[in-house]
Amino acid sequence: MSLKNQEIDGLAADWATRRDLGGLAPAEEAEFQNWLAADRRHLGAYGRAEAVLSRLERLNVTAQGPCENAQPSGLNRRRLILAGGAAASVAAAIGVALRMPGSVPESTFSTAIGQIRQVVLADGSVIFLNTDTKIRVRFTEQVRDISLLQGEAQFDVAKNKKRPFIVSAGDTRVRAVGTSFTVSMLPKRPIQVLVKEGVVELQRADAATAIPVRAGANIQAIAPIGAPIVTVAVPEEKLVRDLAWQRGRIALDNQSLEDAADEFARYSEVRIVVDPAVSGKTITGLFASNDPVAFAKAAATVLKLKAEVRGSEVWLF
Amino acid sequence: MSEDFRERGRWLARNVLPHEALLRAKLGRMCLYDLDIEDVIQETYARFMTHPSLDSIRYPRQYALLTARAIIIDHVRHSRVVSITSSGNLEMLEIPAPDINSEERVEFQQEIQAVMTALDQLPKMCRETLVLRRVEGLPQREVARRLNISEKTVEKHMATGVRLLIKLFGRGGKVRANSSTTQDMDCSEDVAKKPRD
Repeated sequence: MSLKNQEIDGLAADWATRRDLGGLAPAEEAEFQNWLAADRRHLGAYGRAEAVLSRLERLNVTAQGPCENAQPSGLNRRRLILAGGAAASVAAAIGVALRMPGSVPESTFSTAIGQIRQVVLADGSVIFLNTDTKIRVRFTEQVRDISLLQGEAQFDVAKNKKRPFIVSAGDTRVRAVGTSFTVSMLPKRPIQVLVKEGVVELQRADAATAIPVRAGANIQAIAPIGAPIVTVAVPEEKLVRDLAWQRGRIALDNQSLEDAADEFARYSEVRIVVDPAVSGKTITGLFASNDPVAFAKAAATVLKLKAEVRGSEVWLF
Repeated sequence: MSEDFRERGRWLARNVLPHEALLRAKLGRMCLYDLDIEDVIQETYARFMTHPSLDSIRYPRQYALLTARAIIIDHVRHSRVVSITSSGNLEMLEIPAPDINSEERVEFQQEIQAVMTALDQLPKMCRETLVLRRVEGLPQREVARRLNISEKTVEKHMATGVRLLIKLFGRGGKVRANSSTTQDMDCSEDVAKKPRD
């Protein structure tokens, strides 16, 4: 390897690390952009450095196993990894868990308020759990069975025609073979399915006669209680907005402050309280989902209101 | 922009990085006049970073190999000089289209094993910071607290770890500097002058 290339890799590693650890200050971001633009090879090297960081997430697997129920213990896994020379034993342990005959291994994964988490399943499918979400995974030879118990999650399904991937949310079942879609089951809202790629099929669990509904890419299916499933086309911008949570963001498009407050309430214990006197005002923008105070301050500036933190609440008035 | 990078990084981690050692091996077997293998690989990644729609790539491993091949051909066309050793030529990068499914998706356990084997070879602090941050997902401050080091030191260890992992993942084995340069030197022997089109 030429020295020059090694230097580039080193700088790419530095930038990827700094960007991973916390946003860069505007001046640093500008410096980073300049560096990227300075040489075509920088972009490639940077992409690889990002990939290296992402690849480590693969270990955040907690593969299904009878021994790994409920809250998967990250600590044990970490201790094994850190023990040095332990790679083989951990891999063996995972291997054993995956090959358990007879019993159907079941695991649950959950996130606390404000947490986002990626889980890689044994078949290579990836699930992103949004805030305050709980899922249960049961894999058999014939079917990959997932239950969304609460919250919202995106499923990037590894293709396997012989073993369908079925997500149940309340009374709605979403069937996929290999695709990417999001299912949400939130309080006071109908169950919603947003398809990013491929096609899924929705069906009510108890109604044998109900006609299955197919939804393709950029389609949102809404399953209200006691009413038929409906589908609507979703423009690309809205799709991007609706998936902003995966990057820790809330994207608002001309939404009322009350709606925004409800949305932020999903991600933080700090509640935004909108004074009735200023209700009905709307706001647009991309905000960090875990920082309702920053949002309130931004909203106050834009809408010429006041924001004030009062205990565990932030008031807009 | 940065979000897009992260997304692309994730895609590359799943679809290209696990195959980089294979790509390198294929490229190593063909020896091309004045073209640095590292440049080809970096350019391959750069093309993925600017690809308009990664999601539309159905067979990423194959696509990476074809991209590397296209980069070489572009270069050959521009320089009008080809140097191909008797042991290899461009055809070696051509992978038959069918029968891809089995190899495209890296076996899950194999992948876990590869990542752990690489982590095992890192200095202790590099490994610990990377695991706490990237596997456990802890914030920098918490990583620093647990390891009883400063936040700045966390960054330093992580960056060093990433640097080493770039080499380890890329070669699918032990860290060894200059592993490809020896191969480059064999080029001098047989040089075919005829450009391919």
